Amino acid sequence: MKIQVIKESVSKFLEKDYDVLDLFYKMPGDYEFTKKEWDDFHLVPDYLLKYQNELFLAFVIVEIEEKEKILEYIKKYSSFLPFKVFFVKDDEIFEVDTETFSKKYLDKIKIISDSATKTGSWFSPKKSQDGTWLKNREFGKRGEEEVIKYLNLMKIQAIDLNFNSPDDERSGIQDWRKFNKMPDGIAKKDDEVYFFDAKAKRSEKWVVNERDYKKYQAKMEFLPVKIYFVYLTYDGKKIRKLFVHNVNMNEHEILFMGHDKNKVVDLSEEVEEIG
Amino acid sequence: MKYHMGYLFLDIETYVSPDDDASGLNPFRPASKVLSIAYNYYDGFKVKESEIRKPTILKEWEDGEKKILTKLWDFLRVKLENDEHLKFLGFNILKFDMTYLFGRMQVLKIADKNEMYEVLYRRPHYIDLGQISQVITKNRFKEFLNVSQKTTNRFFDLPIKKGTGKDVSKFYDKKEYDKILDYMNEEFCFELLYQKLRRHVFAKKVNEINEDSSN
Repeated sequence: MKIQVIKESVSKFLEKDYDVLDLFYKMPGDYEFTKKEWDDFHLVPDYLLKYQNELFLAFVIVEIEEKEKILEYIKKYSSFLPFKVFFVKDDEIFEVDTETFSKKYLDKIKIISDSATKTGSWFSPKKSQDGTWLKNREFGKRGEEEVIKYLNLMKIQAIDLNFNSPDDERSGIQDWRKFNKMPDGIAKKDDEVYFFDAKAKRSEKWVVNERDYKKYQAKMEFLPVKIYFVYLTYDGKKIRKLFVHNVNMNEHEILFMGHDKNKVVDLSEEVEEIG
Repeated sequence: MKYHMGYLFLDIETYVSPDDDASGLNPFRPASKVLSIAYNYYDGFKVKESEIRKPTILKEWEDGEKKILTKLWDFLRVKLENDEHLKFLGFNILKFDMTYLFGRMQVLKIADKNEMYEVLYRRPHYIDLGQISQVITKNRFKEFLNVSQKTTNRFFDLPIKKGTGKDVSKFYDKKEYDKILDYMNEEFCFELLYQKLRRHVFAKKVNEINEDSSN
């Protein structure tokens, strides 16, 4: 948990110089993970930083021994965006040269206490607590797999932003407000770098929850966002069709769906069939 | 995942230069250009009326010709991977749309010629609604004189598009892109046209059988 607190603190620190988008895992509750569970986490950059028109992907490390896997990762994805690495030791922060791994002292850093990062009360909507959520999650995972398959077929390189955390397989997440739901990944096609997110569907409805759409729009400050609508057979085993929508600031029709009149954005006029 | 027997309805608009009428029909003229590509895919064994939706339209004025051709190329490749019985349908698609696309894809080097031929011609099946439409004409030279889409639509009480393909180029020159989209959406009623043509042909066949058996 300590590393989460450090990452939160570094995020605050970097806000002095950059626009910061946190990509790192935020534990949505008071959970204890085993070492194996921590080891199973995917390596994901911790931040997307913007300085004027320049973008950077960034990692924060607390053990210099972590450099090997970070360097390997940077080498693999260096064509996407330039990388930055920050090293925190005690109450000092350094920027690490990604070529030589030499450290440059930046400043003292104030580590936010663990208790300050807690929200005080849990927020766990009822619908996240029954088994339906897990089934939907599985169906959603199938959509993600099909999008990755499509990107591979198109030779589009992608950075996976899914953490592979134990939250993927639990219902009744204690605090949804802390759950840092990022798009599924960052893709690079020719010179275009963009966020992508898969929406798995059983029927042809090009709609996205209004709250989610606003979150996508907010991310456009950093990178364009594409939503892939994946239409699967009812059992989720096979793909039927694939559409893409480029998130934008246009005015969209709002619809009220389902028994709970969920507010959704209708994107049916702005989708492109791609597979 | 090779279980689909899908339908891909397709239509393109091309640029007719004021200085060279042939540019809209021949992809190898200096002013030749694909302006827009409209398509809709259905993966069922039959196209259901309830599933008909507006087509995807790729626009040259937004992405450039090379990009829209690449997008179509990518789409066709993916579809043919998943659907080896894929049928391409359109009005006069064999003589015009596909040959023009094939030519422009060669000019802009979208892919290797051999691969292009595979994807555009050898692997897909074709149903040209323009050719089937010959069944509605009473002209005794019907094998030679093509029936227009307007005539066919009128016959089946389908909406008739206003204007012609040449008007699209005029809209394009004036940057009246919404008018191009209206034209394309109006023209794109191939799903219904296909259903009506099928019913018409089968009804004729049944009538002939009934007449034969009564003689």
